[in-house]
Amino acid sequence: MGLPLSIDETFMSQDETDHGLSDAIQSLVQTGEIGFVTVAQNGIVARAAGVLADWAAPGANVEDHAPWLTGLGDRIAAIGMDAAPPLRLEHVAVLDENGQHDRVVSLNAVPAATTGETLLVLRDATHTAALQREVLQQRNALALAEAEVKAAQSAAEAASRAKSDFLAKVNHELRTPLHVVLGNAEMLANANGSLSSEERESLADDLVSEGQYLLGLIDDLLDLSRAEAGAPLLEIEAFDLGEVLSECIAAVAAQSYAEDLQFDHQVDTAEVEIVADRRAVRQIAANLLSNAAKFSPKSGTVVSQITANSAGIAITISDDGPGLTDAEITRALEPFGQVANQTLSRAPRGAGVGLPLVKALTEAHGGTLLLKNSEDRGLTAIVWLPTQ
Amino acid sequence: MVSVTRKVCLLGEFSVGKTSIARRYVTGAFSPDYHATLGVNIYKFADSWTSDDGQDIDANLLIWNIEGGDLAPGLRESYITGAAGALVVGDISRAATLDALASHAKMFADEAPNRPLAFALNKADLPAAAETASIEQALADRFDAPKRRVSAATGDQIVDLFRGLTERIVRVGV
Repeated sequence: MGLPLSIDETFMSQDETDHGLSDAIQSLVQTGEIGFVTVAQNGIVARAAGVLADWAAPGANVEDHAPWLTGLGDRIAAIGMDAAPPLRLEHVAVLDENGQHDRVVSLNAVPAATTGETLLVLRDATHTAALQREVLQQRNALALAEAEVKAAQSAAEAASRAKSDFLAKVNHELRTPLHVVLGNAEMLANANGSLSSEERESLADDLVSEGQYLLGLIDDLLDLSRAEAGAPLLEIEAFDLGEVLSECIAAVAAQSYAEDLQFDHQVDTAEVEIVADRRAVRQIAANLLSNAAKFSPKSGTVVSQITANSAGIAITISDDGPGLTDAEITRALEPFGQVANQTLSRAPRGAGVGLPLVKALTEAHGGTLLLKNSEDRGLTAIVWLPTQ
Repeated sequence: MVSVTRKVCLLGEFSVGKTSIARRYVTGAFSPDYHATLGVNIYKFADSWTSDDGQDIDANLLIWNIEGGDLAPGLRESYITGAAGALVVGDISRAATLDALASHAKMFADEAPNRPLAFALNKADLPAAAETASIEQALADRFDAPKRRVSAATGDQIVDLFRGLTERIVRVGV
């Protein structure tokens, strides 16, 4: 198809030629970067000249040959009738099946006032687009880096706050039982026979239980510290998981006696043998059961379940408390990120060590910890441990 | 058999993966390298399938992958003109890009009333931002548009994303 390259004959009236406009437009066409197309109100190409106009044979439908005009025929016709604002497209590239393009097009569509047609001014923007794209790439990369810095700063501040909160919690969690221990020991030492045997027994029981709590807390802190350093000490052996879980249930049930909780234990076989670190598995089960008890309402039910297949064993423990939001679940898994629960009448005891420790010990076994809200109950924790 | 040729737009903030989604659908490939899109890149892709309700669809899609972020006033609207539908894309790992989904969707709905749109929460292979669920709920409350968690990196849900939008375009008859 031969292009009508004589812009004088194609676009300009004699009056315009006399005013020298023709020369200017002719110069633009000759730069090899500009093309002109006029489109009638029915969307049919009337005239065309210059680069990027090789598709626009007079008589062609404007939408049929140039992908960058797809869907724009009505809009272009409306521009000619002054029924739509001028149209502007910048840096349009049509990609081939390999995701490559050979040129970039920019386009302005404006009404040609005297004829009712629309004038399309096409520009080959291939060379300028390469440079502008590089600038855009750098600008976006900088914005992404700034966002990452802000996120890291925010995370560091949150970690700092969590550490401060942790120190306050640990201070409280260590001092409270110590006060009980010291107070009871002092009373026993200074009683001079004024205490009954029942009173002495009660004080001694409190001494033992608070001492055990302190020991457990210190053990958890040391284990978490070791796990965070990437070096949990695991002594792998084969043992009955059901037996360990039953022992943990009995211990947690005794600790939460006053809350009148029910413990429903479901296991699909009489004996489930697991090859793992017995002490770590006990910590996992005890922490999850203790959490479920803490977040259950008075007289609530804690359900535990063991399921096994050839790949691994799952321990599932759920409560009927209020559950946690996604954000709270994320926070609860961060060291010292214990979640406060406003709906419970009592404040849960603990320093926010339990769930991070469970996660670390589970992952040290090559397993996974999943926390999710149940549809008909509160929070469900699922620990999956591989058979080997 | 329904045969259609339609323009669909990809909208969203920069670096959410619009280009990766288009490339995964058209070429089946994925590159982790970030290449900013300047202006519009148009992909032409022919796809044929049978919908869940048994309709054979033969679609020639012109996928307008539009530069993310701020554009000159009126430019984005010009890009949208003539679109039969749009995919509005966010990055599930960056909450700010999910917050922006609603404004992109509103802009499309204003410019192309009653044309179907769908939300794509890309990078589903990465950990989701904490606000994701609440933003998804807010979108569901405000827009009559399906949403999918997709991954251009793995290809998960990408084909269903485009075909689902096309089926809605066919049903609406635009």
